[in-house]
Amino acid sequence: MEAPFDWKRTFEQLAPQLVLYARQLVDSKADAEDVVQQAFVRWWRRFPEGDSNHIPLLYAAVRTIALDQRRSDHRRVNREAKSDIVVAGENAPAFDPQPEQKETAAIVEKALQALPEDQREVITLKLWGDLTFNEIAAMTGSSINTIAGRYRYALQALHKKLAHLRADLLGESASPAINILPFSPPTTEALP
Amino acid sequence: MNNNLNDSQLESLLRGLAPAAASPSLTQRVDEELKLDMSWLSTSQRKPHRTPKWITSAGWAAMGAAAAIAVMSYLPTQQSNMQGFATVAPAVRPVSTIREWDDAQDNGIHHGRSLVAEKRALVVSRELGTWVDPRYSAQMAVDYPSQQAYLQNVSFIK
Repeated sequence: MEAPFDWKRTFEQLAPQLVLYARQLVDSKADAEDVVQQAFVRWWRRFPEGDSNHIPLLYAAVRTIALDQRRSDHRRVNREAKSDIVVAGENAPAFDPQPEQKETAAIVEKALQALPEDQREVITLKLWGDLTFNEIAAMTGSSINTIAGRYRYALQALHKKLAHLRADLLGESASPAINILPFSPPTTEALP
Repeated sequence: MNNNLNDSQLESLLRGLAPAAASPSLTQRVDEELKLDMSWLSTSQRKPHRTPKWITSAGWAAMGAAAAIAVMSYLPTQQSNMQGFATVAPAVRPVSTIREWDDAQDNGIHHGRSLVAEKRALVVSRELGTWVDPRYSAQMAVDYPSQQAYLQNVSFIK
């Protein structure tokens, strides 16, 4: 039987994805980590056994807290009339790429930021949070068709944004020195 | 040759990027917050939530005692009414009541609707009461269990 309060393993597994998701909703990495802290503690108090069936609820908590924080931040910004204070970690990279993935990671991050927020949210939850469309629909209060549509539009937009990566990928066979694929080694399954 | 990445290849490409790790201070902050919970809960960890064995038997005893009091209060009234005397004040009266705490379970700190931190505790106690009926020089001990939930506001020192 797992010892009670053995939360660290669960947290280490989930924290990067949770922070990535929270960053889609708030302004900086520091804010995102605040959100994740509150959400995880709240979630762990409720489900101290760390059951993976309850992970969608953890993402839902992140969402609720992030949206609350954003509302209060907007009020604060309005009050303070945009101070010049630089938010800590605002520009910290969202990904932790392998050396050969650095360029790809930077492009993907920029491409993600260019997406509308609702599409970005679905892409993040689906690809890095491993949630199903059903789970995303339940936590966002949207229909499953809406969620699937957002995902489809987001993928289409990313296809366009990453078009030049595509060219690099295909150029790889002619010039094997360039390996832009973030996953290694490239397989015949991954390449047409 | 098809120059397009298909959707699954694009998904693989994106999934292949690992999200940046959370900062070590985040883990530390979560650790501190959960440790606070552990300190509150340590009492109930040592003493798991259970219903004390005596509660069932004491409950029956209390019900029996209550029934006896009711009967004793009722009978003299009937007799006096039958004899045509005026009804007197209830003869059975409590002499002393003692409350003993049997168990206190700390249910941790929660945030209420107003987001104020509250410590919740459940106190299991029993009341020992002594009742007498001077008409018959009768005395009886009443022993019944009770459970009460307590809420206490908590403030944190930063």
